[in-house]
Amino acid sequence: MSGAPKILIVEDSMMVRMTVKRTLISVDFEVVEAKDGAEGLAKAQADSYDLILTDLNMPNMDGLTMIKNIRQLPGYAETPIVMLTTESGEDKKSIGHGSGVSAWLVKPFEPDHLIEVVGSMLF
Amino acid sequence: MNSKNISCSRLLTCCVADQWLALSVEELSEVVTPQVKTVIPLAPVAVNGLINLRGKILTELDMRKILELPERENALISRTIILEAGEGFGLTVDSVGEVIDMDAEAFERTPDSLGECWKSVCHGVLKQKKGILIVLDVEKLIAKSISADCTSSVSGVR
Amino acid sequence: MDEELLAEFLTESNENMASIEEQLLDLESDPANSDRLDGIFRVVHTVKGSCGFLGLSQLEKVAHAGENLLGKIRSTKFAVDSEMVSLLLESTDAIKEIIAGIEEHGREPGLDHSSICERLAVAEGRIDGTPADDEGEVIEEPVSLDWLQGIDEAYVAILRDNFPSPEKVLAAGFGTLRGLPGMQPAIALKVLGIAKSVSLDNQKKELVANPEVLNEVVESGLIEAPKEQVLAPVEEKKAEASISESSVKNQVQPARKAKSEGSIRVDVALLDELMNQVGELVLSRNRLLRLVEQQGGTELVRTSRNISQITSRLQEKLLHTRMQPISNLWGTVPRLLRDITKSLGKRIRVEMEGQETELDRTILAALKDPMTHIIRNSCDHGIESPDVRLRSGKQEEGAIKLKARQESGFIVIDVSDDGGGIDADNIRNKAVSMGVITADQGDLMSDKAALQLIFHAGLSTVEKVSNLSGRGVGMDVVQSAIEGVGGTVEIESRPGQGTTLNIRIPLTLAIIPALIVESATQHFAIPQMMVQELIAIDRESDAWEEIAGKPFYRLRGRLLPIIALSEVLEQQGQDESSSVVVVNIGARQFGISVGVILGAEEIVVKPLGRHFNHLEIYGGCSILGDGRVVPILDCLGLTKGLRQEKDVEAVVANSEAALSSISEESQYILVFAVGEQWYAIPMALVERIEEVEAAAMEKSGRREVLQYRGDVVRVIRLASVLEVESLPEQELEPCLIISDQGSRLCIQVDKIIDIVKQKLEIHLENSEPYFIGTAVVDGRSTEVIDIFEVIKKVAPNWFSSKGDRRQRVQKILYVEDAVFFRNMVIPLLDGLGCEVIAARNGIEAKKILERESPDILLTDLEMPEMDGFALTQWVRTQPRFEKMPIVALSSLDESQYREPPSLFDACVKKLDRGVLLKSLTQLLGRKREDDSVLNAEVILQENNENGGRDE
Repeated sequence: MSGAPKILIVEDSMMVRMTVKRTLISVDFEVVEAKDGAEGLAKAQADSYDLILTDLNMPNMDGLTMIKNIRQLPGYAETPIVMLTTESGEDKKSIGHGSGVSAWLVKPFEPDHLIEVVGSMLF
Repeated sequence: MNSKNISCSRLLTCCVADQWLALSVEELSEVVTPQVKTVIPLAPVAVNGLINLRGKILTELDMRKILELPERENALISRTIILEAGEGFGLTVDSVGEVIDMDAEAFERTPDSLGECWKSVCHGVLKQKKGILIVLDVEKLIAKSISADCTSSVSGVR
Repeated sequence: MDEELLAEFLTESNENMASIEEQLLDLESDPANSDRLDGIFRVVHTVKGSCGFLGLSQLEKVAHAGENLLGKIRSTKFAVDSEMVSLLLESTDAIKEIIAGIEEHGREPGLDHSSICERLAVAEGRIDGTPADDEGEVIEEPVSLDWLQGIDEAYVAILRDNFPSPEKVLAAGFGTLRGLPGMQPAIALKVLGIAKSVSLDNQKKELVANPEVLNEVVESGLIEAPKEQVLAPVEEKKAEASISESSVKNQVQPARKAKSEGSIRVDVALLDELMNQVGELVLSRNRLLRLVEQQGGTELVRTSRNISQITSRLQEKLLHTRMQPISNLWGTVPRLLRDITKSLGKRIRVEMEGQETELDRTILAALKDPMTHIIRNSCDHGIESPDVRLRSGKQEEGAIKLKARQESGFIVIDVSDDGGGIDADNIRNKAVSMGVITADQGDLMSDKAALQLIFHAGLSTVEKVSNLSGRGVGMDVVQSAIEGVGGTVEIESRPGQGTTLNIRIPLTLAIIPALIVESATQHFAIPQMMVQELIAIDRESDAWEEIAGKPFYRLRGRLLPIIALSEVLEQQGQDESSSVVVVNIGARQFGISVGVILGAEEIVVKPLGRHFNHLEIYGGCSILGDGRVVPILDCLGLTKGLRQEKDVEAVVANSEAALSSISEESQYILVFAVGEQWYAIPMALVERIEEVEAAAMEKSGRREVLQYRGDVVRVIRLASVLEVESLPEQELEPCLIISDQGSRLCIQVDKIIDIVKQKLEIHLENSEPYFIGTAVVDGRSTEVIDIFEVIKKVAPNWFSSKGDRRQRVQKILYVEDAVFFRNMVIPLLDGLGCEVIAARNGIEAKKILERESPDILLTDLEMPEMDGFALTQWVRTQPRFEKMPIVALSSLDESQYREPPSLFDACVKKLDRGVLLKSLTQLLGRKREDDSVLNAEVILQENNENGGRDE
């Protein structure tokens, strides 16, 4: 398929990346991985994505900084960005209005949750 | 092997428990010395085992066992006739004699006087000077070796 | 008649006719497909044309009538209906029949085909009578759902009515789509993804037609790809997609095309003969290698190795020439289904996956009948009639799925239907009432085992039972046909949801790896594919058990029925068995005890003579490298007596039931590599996987540590613990973070391979200290690391540092029959600083309770002899244990308990370490360390309590 939805996952935990990749490839999506915020930003700049999933705490550039930068890029004003947070609650507080985050998903998540969130954000 | 062939073929004689027997040479390919056998547990009694004849695996039958005769004293002096029937068999006898011409005149259908056990493997007899020569029916022989049960009397030979 | 020409004609016609059925069925589903129609016309035309040359007048008549009708259909663009296709199918049947007759007798069989010719002519007239402008009807066919290729038919059907186009799907959105009855969220997302991509493609195509719109669209953000890529690749990719996603319908054609180039026809008999010769060559090679080994010089060794390799390659290539795709076998299925469904008034479609999977032609031929039988059964008894299906919320149309794949030396074929399924209880009851099993056995038997009874001759030959069970007669025949080619078959079913038959077949028959064993000085070969493992046995070991007078060996908790080879073979002068060969028969395992295991060898299977026909224990014979003839044991026959023994079955079923909690539970496992070797560890034990910069791992004394989330974490390099060669240091080292009550360890590995969800079949090997056993991941045997043993070895203080040593040692009685879980849980309990008393079942636990007073009882529920419920009920009646908390540790959910969960003080699911530790610490009256403020008080209380209890 030439135009399968393309998803960027920015996350330092390989386990989470793997879960995301597996799940979304199973529905024939294209998934590109980035290990930290800086890499995520670079990849977002180089190509266009239908949706971005990102962790909050990452080396090199944290998730919120990256999102701020991505939102500045042409074509990314409306792109859904889903933040992957932990249960602690601390993370969620920092994700408020103006952060550029469209939704969040609490880790650890089941593949089904991911499908629900991605589905409702994209379509 | 049907009877018309027998009447015009040559025969190989062999001996089992002092009884002379004959087989049509067309039914056999060669005669070999005792072979290394692999005994197959639970096989019919008449089966000596499996032999490897130049890469071909054959079932070796023992004439004495088919006829429920006492085992031969010295297994090493026996001979094994390789039969071409079916998938090929080895038939072990005490010794082999010579190749003779079939004398249709002397051939007689299995006489009633022959013991039951002999009758069951016999095609007919050839009357000769030194006594009777039993002409074997290979198919019957093999069938009998499978059924393995030769409970009937073998007195005809003894 | 020219013999050569005739032979050529027959081969060609057979080939052409083989595909015509399929093409006709395609035409039926897509009457407007003129390419298809042309193809069919050509085949029939060619047949007719050749008849003139060869003087085959009878064949010519039928082919001519067929050609005329097809020609008429073509010229009038008549939309064929099912009746017409039936007639055409009948005419091709007639053609095939005549061709088969010619093949057999060398001339046309004297068959009368005038009726079919007449009817073909009548049909031709019918077309003339019909107005030719029927085309409207054709176009009114339901909107094409081709864009949904790759989506399961069941889901396509859900979309058919309301959301037939990508645009409609996109307009509906995820929320609506996923809410459709029967729809899965993941499928909804997949469909939307495809819809987006297809609608983009469509827009791009429009753009190609009207380039002036381009700028507008790009600006509106519709096309997100870089501009230069927008136009060119679209068509190309489309073409690619349609080939790679080729469905059942167009699958045959590309394969055919590919074959015709650079290939010649070879007589099968010639191939068979070649195969025999190569078989002999392999044997001679083996013999040669053995001789060279004994007396060879270097030059001789080198040359013979060379020959050996060439022989292996030759053998491999030749085996390949005999392989045919399974589509040859499945090609007849659509026609079969069509015929059956018509007569049954059901609607059934077939889906195929892995048609390209290749099988040895002999095996393929042997599978033909069982396959037909299985499919017929699925149609007859599996799939319900449309009204029943609708009532139970299924789609009207049933589905039969055929899946084939290769899996480590085997071909696995799954045939599944989405029909009514089979109720295991029905089979169980029937089997009991027919005396196939006893009522007791029935109770003990797992559903899975009960389902397999369907293959039992006693059950499968009774019509009534079969209808009741949802499966037709003769499943025993299916089983024996499959076993005849060395395969196995198993059935799985979910009442109301469908049935799956799982067939496993060896790739090829002729040359097989075998295990050579000795029993009473005689040698025997056992096909390796039957062998699961070898165990050296110790006669004195308490793993031996005698139940109902039969010997059993307890292997990793599972009772293995044992037969002594020398006894089965009635061998004289039997020697003491030293080894057991564990063989797999379907889902069951048996042990064959033998004298000595001599080794493995590749052998050529040769048939045994007719003297051995009655002996089921032999599967053939072969010649070993030393020229010796060996009989090949047939494990199916060998264990037949044992398998039919009811006592044995009951004992095994019992032990299986106790174990099923392990094997039926699938879990996430993490697979990683250290050096070249793969290892696995249950995901539940890993907190996180990190990629740590090598530089971040510092030496601290003799240890390595890592700064991790504000902690100093000890690093364990698995390679050095396991004493395997590690990969050179990488910039980023993958590490597993293991955490236990807030304290962490970092395990460095070389590479993370995957996380897979699957059943962990644990094989415990006592001799391997760091492994709980091996699991099979992706067909690759993978060692499962016993992480607690590793930690115990390298950082023995890690567990105990957290246990509170100020307290009196508390005792936990832990009752668990599965060694696997015992090994997993005991270190955990040790880590709590408790003394652990282990028992294998309720009876043992009762005995222990006579002399011990544990502080807590932790028990599994499903156990042999006396289960956890019975044990708990008994304990609750004992005043002495009034205060003892009882924790259930089971793989069952509380809702699945057959007694109220309130019987227990806590219920914990297996492998949920966190919850287990929490429950235990709570019930033991301890607090987590982080609540250190309360610690002093708690300890005081505990001491009082304990003091009281000790007196």
